[in-house]
Amino acid sequence: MDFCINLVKQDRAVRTLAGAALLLLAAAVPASADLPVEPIGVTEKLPARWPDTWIQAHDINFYALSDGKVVIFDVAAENRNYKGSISAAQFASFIASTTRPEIYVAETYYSQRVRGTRHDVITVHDKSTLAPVAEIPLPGGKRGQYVTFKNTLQLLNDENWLAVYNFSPAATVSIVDVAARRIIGEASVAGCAMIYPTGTRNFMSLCSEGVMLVTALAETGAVAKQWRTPAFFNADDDPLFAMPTMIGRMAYFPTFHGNIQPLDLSGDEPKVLLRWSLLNDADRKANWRPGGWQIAAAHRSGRLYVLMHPDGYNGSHKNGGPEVWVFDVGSGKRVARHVLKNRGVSIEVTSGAQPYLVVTNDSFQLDVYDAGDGKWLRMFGDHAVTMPMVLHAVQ
Amino acid sequence: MNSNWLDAITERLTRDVARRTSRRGFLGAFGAAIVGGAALPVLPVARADAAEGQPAPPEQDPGDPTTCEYWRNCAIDGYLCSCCGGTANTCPPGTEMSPITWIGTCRNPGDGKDYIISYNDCCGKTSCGACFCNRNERDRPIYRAGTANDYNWCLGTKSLAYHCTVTLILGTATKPI
Repeated sequence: MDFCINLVKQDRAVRTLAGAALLLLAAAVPASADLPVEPIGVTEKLPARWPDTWIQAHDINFYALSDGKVVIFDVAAENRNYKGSISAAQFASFIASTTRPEIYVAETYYSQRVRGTRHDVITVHDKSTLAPVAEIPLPGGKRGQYVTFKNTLQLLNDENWLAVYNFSPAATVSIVDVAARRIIGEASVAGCAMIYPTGTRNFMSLCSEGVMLVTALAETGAVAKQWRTPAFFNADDDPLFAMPTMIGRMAYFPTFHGNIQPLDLSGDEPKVLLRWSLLNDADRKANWRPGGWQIAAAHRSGRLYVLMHPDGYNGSHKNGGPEVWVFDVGSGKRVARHVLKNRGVSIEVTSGAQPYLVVTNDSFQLDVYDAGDGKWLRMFGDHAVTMPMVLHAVQ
Repeated sequence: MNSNWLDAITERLTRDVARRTSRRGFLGAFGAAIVGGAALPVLPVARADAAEGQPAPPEQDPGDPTTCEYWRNCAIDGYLCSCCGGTANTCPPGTEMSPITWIGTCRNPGDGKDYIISYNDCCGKTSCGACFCNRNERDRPIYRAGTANDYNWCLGTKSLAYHCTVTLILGTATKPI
């Protein structure tokens, strides 16, 4: 303790000397008006509509899962690119509305953090203040928990409903009325998983036997009808990655062995379109494969971006990769290979006319590239994010 | 040279473990049937010859359970309980083992047999943080739950806070899953 007091005394002495030096300096320059008195308690706000150079980085924080978060970054900015953040606890799911100034987080809390009474909720945040404005209870202790995906929390019915994936391990989907802030329905998706909106109120789920389960919802949110499509993939031989990328209502699912399975989700009945390959003969010989976590991204111009690695093997499908390959979805032809400065784990492309390619690298920092020519522009993250597994471009 | 992004985490956390392969996941698993009516195969499992609960001689269970390379970790995605106060088949003090898990098939170099490994999670405390491994052999996406390591398999426990993962032998495999 005495040591500490001595340190304080020394510090005060130094400050006194520094203050005297500043006074002498001030006396030597012309007098000017004082800086204005500044108010206490001012907090920044964001615009209600966010620029298309912003992304939302979902940090699962695997080192302390009860304390995940979503950080909003402006990837076009060299400095001050951290715009704000919201909490996203315990394997949360996240989605932003495009029609309301709201963002939604499906998450779980315990009364004593990792024990006690379990609370599953959808927390509604205001886009300007980033403050929570409502909580929608999700009763039953069944909200699914998994490494973060996009298709575990989705908007349906012109964004008037939220759909939440449950896994207890019974697989179901809860339907929530966004305006009323309450659950209005639940559908069993036994043997299947995920929520891929199709048509207006319908959604489909992928199933282990290689089919889609389509759930048609009535205006009330109750299940009107469910059916399974014929099998169109084989989960043993060449599984579809569960996280597709979208261009409009077209979903592009990469497969473990380097194919793209397009699905047209614009109608109430999803359509299976012709599968095409990312690989030429030389690529196959070098055993290039897609891999990572969020391995595909797309831009409305018709460009598809896929994270690739050579020397693939059974189990390499999450290893990330050193290159992002760019394809024209109309022709299926590769138009560019971007060699990454740092190996990538997840990728996203911003939605503006001059898109950026954003990569969660293998140090869990964010690298920003020009999506057109692949030029590396900047890296940021510091310790702001520890494990940003999923990146959401502002739409 | 590291080719696995999970290595980066491991190195940041434990720089002395260059031999580890890292990973990110969580686990659990077993019961395809539990997942609800899925057309999943009946598990091709036969009981191991050793008496249940008896430790195997080292030559038949070779390797260091605190490394990602240990043979039972072939499909793991999470923290090794052996590094967290537990062992390859017991949970650390104060945690609770999930009764529901996902499974993998790993070849034991000690006897050349394929074993069905149950990757049960130990639950109720925050993340262990040590020995993060992510190997993913035969791992399948989340829509095939019984062989998917991306779920938090802390299910059926008092708390679903994920801490670490054990690797229990369920039996020998008559064919790989």
